[in-house]
Amino acid sequence: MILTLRLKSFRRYGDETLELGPGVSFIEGDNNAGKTSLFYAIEYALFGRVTGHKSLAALMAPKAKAMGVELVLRGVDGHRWRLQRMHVLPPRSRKTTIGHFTLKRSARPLDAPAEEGVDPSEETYVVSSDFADREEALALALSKALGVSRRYFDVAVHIRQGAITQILEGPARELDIVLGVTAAVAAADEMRAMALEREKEASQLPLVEETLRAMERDQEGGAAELTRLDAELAELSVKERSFVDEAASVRLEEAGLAPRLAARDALDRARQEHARAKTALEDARAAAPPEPGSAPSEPVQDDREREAREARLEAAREARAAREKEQRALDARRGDLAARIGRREEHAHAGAGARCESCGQPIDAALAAREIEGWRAELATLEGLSDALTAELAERSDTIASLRDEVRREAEARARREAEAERFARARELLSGREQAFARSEQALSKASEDVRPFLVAAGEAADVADPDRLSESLGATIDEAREALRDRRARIDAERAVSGGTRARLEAQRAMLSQRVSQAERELARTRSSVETLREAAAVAARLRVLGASFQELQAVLRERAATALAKEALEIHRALQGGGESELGELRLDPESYAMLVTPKDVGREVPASAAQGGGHRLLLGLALALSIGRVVGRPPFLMLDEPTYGLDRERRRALLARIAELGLTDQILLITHHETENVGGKHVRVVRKGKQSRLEVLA
Amino acid sequence: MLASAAVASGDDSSKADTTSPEAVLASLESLRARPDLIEPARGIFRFAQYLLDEEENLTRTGNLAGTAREQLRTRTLELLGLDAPSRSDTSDDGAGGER
Repeated sequence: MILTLRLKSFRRYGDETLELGPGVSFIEGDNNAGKTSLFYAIEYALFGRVTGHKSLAALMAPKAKAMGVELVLRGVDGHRWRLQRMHVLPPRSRKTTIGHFTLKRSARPLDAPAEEGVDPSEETYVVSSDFADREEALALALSKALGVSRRYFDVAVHIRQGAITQILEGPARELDIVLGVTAAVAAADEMRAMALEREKEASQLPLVEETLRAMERDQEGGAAELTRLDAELAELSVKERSFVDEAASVRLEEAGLAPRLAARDALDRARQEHARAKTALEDARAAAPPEPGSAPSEPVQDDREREAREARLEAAREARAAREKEQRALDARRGDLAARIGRREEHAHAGAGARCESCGQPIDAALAAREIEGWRAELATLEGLSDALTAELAERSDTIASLRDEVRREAEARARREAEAERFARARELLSGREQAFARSEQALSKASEDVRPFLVAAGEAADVADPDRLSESLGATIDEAREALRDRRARIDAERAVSGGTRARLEAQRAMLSQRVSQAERELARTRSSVETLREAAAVAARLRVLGASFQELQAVLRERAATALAKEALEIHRALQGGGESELGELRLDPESYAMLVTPKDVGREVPASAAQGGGHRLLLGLALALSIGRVVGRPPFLMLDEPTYGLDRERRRALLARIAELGLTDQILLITHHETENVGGKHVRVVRKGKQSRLEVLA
Repeated sequence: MLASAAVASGDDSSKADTTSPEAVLASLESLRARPDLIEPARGIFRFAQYLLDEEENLTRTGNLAGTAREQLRTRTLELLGLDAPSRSDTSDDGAGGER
C-alpha cells in the first residue's frame, strides 16, 4: 500500500506530496491536467522506467536538470518502506540521465506500539545505488517488500487507459509469463531442441553398435590366436627345458670322464717321471769318479815331514833374524863412527880454540886426528863383519826360500787330494739320490698303473696288462671313444636347440605382432565402447528430454486451461458485480485458452461471440474491466490497484455506480483511480489535479 | 499466479500447493511414468521463469534470447545430473524468488 507519493520536478509537478491511504483514492482532473503523471511517477519510482517512455529525460519538468519521486509504502511485513529515486541530467546532456535510488526500511513495524526512547521514524538502508547496489537488487527487494514484480505490475496492478477493452482480444504476453505458461513453453521448446540434437547424435548408435560387435568378434579371434600361440610357446619351452636337461646330462658325463682323465694323466706323468729318473740314474752312474785309493798312514808321514820342514823353516827364519839384528847393530855402530869421524874432521878444519860441542872442552887437533884414525880402523873392521853377515844372510834367505817352496807344493798336493775326495763324495751322494728317486718313480708308476686298471675293467678292456704304456693307450682310447659319443650328443642337442630357437623367434614375432594388433584393437574397442556409451547416454538423455518437453507442453496447456477457466469464472463474477448484481446478461463467458480472448454468450443473442465484437462500448468496457480485474484475483492479490480512466465512455449514472462497485469489490486494500469526471458522490478520498499554466498541483478535496 | 489466486480467495496453503505450476507438474500424465524427472522439471521451470522475469533475456517477440537459452540448457543438464560447463551466471539465485 502506498502511504505517500512525493514528486519533484516530475512532468509538470514542481514539488508535490500526496498522502494516500486504504480504500479508493479518486484522482480527478481535466484532460491533460497531469493525472496519469502520478501513475507514471509510481511506475518510475518502482522500476526506474515508464512504459511508453524511452527517455526518462522526457519525464523531467521543463528546464529542470533533475527529477525525483519518493514513495512511502507499507510492505507485506508491516514495515514502512521508503523508496527514493531520482535522475539527473548531466551538463550539456539532453537525453542521457544518471539515476540514483535508495530503499530504506523502518526499524519497527508501523502498527507496533510506541516505545519510549524509540524513534518511530528510524530507518535502515536496504539497497542504494550509492552503495553500488544494482537495479536488480532493488527489484528483488521490492518484490519481497511489496510482492510486486515488474511483470506483475503490468499485468495485475496497473490497468492502463485504453487497454481495458483491448484486453478482450487477449491480455498482454506478460500474463503468460506471470502464469508460468511462457516458462513452460520456453522449457518445452528447449527440451525438444536439446532432445532433437541428441537424437541426431544418437542416430549413429545402431551403426556404431554393429561396428562394436564386429570389433568384439575380431578381438575374440585375436585372443584365441594369442592363446594358441601361447600354448605352442609353452610346448616349445617344455622342449627347450628337455634340451637343457640333456645338455646338463652331457656335462655331467663329461665331468664323469675327469677321474679317468686324471688317472691317465697321473699314469703318463708317472711314466715320464720314471723315464726321467731312469735316465738320470744311468747318467749319474756313468759320470761317477773312481774312488781315491790312498793308504791311511800316508797323510801322517806327510804331516811329520811337513812339520819338520816347517820347523826348519822357522829356525832358518829365526837365524836370519838374529843375523839381521847383528847387522843392524853393526850398521848403527858404523854410522856412529862415521859421524864421529865427520865431526872430528870438521873440528880439525875449524882450527885451534874449537870446543867439543858436547862437553864444551877445547879440542886438541892432534888428539882428534888420532881418534879419527882409530875410529876409521874400527870402522873398516866393522865393514868386514858386515859383509860377512850380508853373505850369511843371503845364504839363509835362499834356504828359507827353498823351504817355503817345499811347504807350498805340499799344501797344493794336499788340497788336490781333498778336492778329489769331495767330488767323489758328491758323486756318491748324487747317485744315491737318483737311485732313491728312481725307486720312488717305480713305485708311483706301479700305483698309477693300478689306479688305471679299474677304469679299463669298467670300459670292458683288458686290465691285466703290465706295460704302463699299453695301459695308458688303452685308457686313452676309452676316453676318446666316450668323448666322441658326448660330442655327437652335444652336436645333436645344439642342432635341435637351433631349430627350436628359430621356431621360438618365429612364434614370438607372430605373437608380438598379434599382441600389438590386439592391443590396438582393444584401444579401438575401448574408444568405440566409449562412443557407444556416449551415444546411448545421448539417447537416454534425449528420451528424458522428450519426456520433459512433453511434460512442459502438457503443463502449458494445463496452465492455460486452468487460467482461462479461472479468469472466466472470476470475470463473470466481477462482471455481475459491476452490473450491480441481479441476473447476468450473459448466458456464458469463457476464455480461449490459446489467446485468453474472451468469448461471451449473451442471453439475447443466444450464441457465443467474441467479447470484443459485443455491441456497445459500455458493454465492452464492462467486460474488459471485469477481465482486467479478474487477473488480480487469479494471479495474486495486488498490494494496490492503479486504474486509469476505467469508466471512460460511460454515462454519468453508470459511471458513478461503477466506481462505487469497483470500490466494493474488495480486490485489494488500496485503489488509485484516475478519472476526469467528477466523483463527488462516490465514497473515498478525492484528489484533484489542477493545472495552472505549466505547473500541475494537487488538491485534496474534503 | 494460480497459487496466489488461491491464497487471495482464502483457500488454505495445502490447496494452494496443488494449483501452483510446480505442483501441477507432479500430476502431469507425461511425468507419471518418470517420477524421477519431476524435481528436474520443477528446477527447469523455476529457472525458465527466472530468465523470463528479466526483460533483457527476451527477444522482441517475447521468446528467450540466445544467451538465456544457453543458460537454460546448461541448467537443464545440471539438473539432470549431466556434465555441463559451470557458469557463474546460471546460478539459481532468484529462480523462484519472484512471482
